[in-house]
Amino acid sequence: MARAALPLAVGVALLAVGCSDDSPTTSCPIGDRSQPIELAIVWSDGTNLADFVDGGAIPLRRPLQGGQAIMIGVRARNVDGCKVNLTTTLRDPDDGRSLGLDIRPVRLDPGADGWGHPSEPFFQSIGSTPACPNLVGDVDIFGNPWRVELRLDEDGGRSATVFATVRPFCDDVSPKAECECECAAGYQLGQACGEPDAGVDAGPDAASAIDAGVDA
Amino acid sequence: MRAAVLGLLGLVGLAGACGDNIPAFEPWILDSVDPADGLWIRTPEFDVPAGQEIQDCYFFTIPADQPDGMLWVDHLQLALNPGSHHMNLFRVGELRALKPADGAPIDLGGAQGTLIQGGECWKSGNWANWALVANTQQSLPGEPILDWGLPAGVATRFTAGETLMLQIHYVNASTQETPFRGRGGVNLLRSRDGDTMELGTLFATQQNIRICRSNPRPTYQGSCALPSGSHTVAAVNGHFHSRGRKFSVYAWDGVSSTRPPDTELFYQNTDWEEPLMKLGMSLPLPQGGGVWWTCDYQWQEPAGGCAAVDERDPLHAGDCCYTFGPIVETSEHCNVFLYYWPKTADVNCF
Repeated sequence: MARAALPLAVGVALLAVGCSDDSPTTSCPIGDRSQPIELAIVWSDGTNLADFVDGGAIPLRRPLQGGQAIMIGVRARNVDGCKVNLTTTLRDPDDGRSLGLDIRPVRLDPGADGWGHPSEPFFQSIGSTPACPNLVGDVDIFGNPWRVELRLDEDGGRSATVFATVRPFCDDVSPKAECECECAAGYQLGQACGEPDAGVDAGPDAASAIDAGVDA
Repeated sequence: MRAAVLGLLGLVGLAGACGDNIPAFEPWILDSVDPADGLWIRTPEFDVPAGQEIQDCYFFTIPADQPDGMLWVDHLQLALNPGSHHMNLFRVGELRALKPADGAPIDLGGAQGTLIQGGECWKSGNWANWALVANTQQSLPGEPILDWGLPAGVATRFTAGETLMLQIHYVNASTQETPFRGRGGVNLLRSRDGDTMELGTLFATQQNIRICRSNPRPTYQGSCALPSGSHTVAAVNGHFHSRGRKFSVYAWDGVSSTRPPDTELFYQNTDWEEPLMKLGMSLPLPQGGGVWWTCDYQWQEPAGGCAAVDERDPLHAGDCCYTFGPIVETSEHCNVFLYYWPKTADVNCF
């Protein structure tokens, strides 16, 4: 429907933004950018970040709208931590098919160890890689080994890629029964997975609705 | 037979148009449907007060007396009064906190149903595993009806007694206006020509999105694989809010982790308000593949300031970041609605 007129001041602000560089407005070099980008894989449980050991277990987490995802990213050096995009891909190790893919701008903050680390463990600098439901494979997502591929692309064309094997698992956060149902081979959309009267964590969706007064 | 339209509606519309330079409101009319020919649903008209967004969920069931227990539909008509942000039709799956039985009884014309206004109808996790049936974002005064005939041989199959949910979102605020009153309608027209291929649906969304002052033009991308088999795209549309500047969908091989070449691009939209609904398609997808989609954004200063946007940022970064959510004024989406045949499964990618 017809767009409401914006105040002139806002229009000026928009024009100013529209004429600026497409990239983030700051530059954050980490290490020696004349050297190749180096990567190491990190993972998150939604609260904490840790280095990932190849072949290790990683929890499945339920994003706001649904499904189950693994939260995995990189620390890096010799890179501009403010101008990078992270691609995370979950693959079938047998045939290379992609089960889930996520590409997003991330921010890496310099640490005392000389590496750039994800600026936070949940939302801004970690890949939210979709894992379930998944109709591509014919085995359970949880408890089985899958390949992850993580690529960091810096503005200007430099990039680096790292690989690992992950073993997703369901824990009580998801919660477990629901996660194992949604991530099981043969799961069909609409299939009952949760507790009969279980509510859901409404998250920011709910907060925004309430705050906006739209559900009154 | 033609559905009755109250003369009052027109008067209300005309009154709303006075002095606003808005064309006089012409109420849309959809013919009602004899049960032998399908099913029709009409919501009542409702107010959308200035400064507010309304999202309501209407539940109804496919009548029990269907031939062989099935209703095959090969023609859909979806109608909206001006100002709608979206209207989505889902098959009700696993029940969470949004339950038909919790709704207030309501007469929907061609069926009796229940209505839940706001509340749980805002919380997308409630219908996370409900399959999409159809959607429209088209509500221009001159084009209120999406008239959608499915490809030859293809139909949407419903089971007698199956429960559906019609969700309607209206906005009357700074980013979108509802000049008159809200109202929606659906006709599901029975297939008469022996269609045997079932229409499948794909809903895909990027959830952890952030469009921030300090990174004003981010792009988010994702892919969504279909089950094994040959699939042909029948229709597609993308959905985002007012910070969205370009929505693109590509055919994808199911393996690549770089964006497909432009030759694979089959949908692009730059009008967030009235996004293109591409119909009449017959596009084969790669075997073992699916779709790849991208959402390009341009951060904008919120008309009401950053406080409401900042408040719903889970990171509380103070960077005026629009994040995932249903409220058009303060949040963003990056959703694909795609229709294909023959159906192997309804697919949701999160």
